[in-house]
Amino acid sequence: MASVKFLVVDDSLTMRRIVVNTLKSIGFDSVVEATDGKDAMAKLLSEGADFLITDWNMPEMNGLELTRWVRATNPFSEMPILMVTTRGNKEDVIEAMKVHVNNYIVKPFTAQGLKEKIDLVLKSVEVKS
Amino acid sequence: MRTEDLKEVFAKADETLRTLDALPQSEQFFRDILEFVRDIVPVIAELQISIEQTSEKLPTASRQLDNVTAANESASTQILDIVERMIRQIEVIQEWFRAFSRETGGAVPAMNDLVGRIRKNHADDPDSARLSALWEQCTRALGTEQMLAAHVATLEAVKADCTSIMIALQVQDITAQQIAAVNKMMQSVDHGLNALLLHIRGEECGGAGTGYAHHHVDIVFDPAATYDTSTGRQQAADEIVTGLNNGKHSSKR
Repeated sequence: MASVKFLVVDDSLTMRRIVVNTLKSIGFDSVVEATDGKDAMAKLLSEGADFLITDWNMPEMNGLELTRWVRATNPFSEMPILMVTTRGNKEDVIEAMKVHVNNYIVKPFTAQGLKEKIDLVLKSVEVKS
Repeated sequence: MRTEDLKEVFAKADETLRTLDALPQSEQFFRDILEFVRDIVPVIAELQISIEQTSEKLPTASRQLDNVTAANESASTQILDIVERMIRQIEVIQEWFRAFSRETGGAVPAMNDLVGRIRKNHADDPDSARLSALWEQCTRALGTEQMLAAHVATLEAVKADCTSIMIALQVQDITAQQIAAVNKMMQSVDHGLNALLLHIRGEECGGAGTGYAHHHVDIVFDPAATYDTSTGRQQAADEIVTGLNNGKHSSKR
């Protein structure tokens, strides 16, 4: 589990640091950051990752568009994806699930909540260690 | 003059006579309208001045909000730096305690045994009693393994509090989005005011075009972003996700 490489995507520097530090506190040290969907695409193509944690509202390319691209692009199409966003309406959750995110976290989240969701997703999806 | 012409003249005269008859009643109506126009013109002039002043102030207010976002971001970054440093230092101390416990764990019982044997074999030697007393003092200072474990646990609790501080800083991201939403509203109002001014005097004023060109106005925001730490929203999302996932036969696509 500790060898899983995360890609954390958020246009807010504060949020990226929070997610990265929380990942480290629960044992995940291998983390790459991106500032928006477009940056995330470039990082995936150049550095790869095993697990995507993405915000929704971002410039250039939002989290939904990024998810669509990941799902349509080999070898990333089966990558676990966690949407972490302020959007908490029922319609938003459904829209995210329609583009096949694996799970959904509403900000503000707790460290325990993030850990539980990651564990849940990792259990449900095969990840190469 | 033909009969038809006469008839037409009569009809016109009759119509004019009826108009003249109505003039006394119409006079007051026209007077009221003219007085209204006279009163409304200065009001419109004042309104125009007020719109101009408001339109000039809105970009300034927008920049002040941007300063709030920037200050918030700066403070959050500083707090994060401190919290990260504290967590690293706590982890160093915790590791020291663990290493100390490992190192002394086996040595303390052996020392107890050795000191006991020295006291027994050299009961008359005052140094033996002194050694025993000093060793007792040392073991009290070193603490038991349980005490060391309690210190490690206390540090873990402090670390958890640091993590909680860090997690609470999500407020910066959320409030930045809320402020961005207000900024957009102000810009929209300013555009409306300028359209009105354009209509009144044929030119725009204020900074509706360039007055909003600062960093945080371009944040992509969720207009409904809210700092709500209750579990209800997450629970609602979880129910939807669970429900939709249970409907799938395979996670593979």
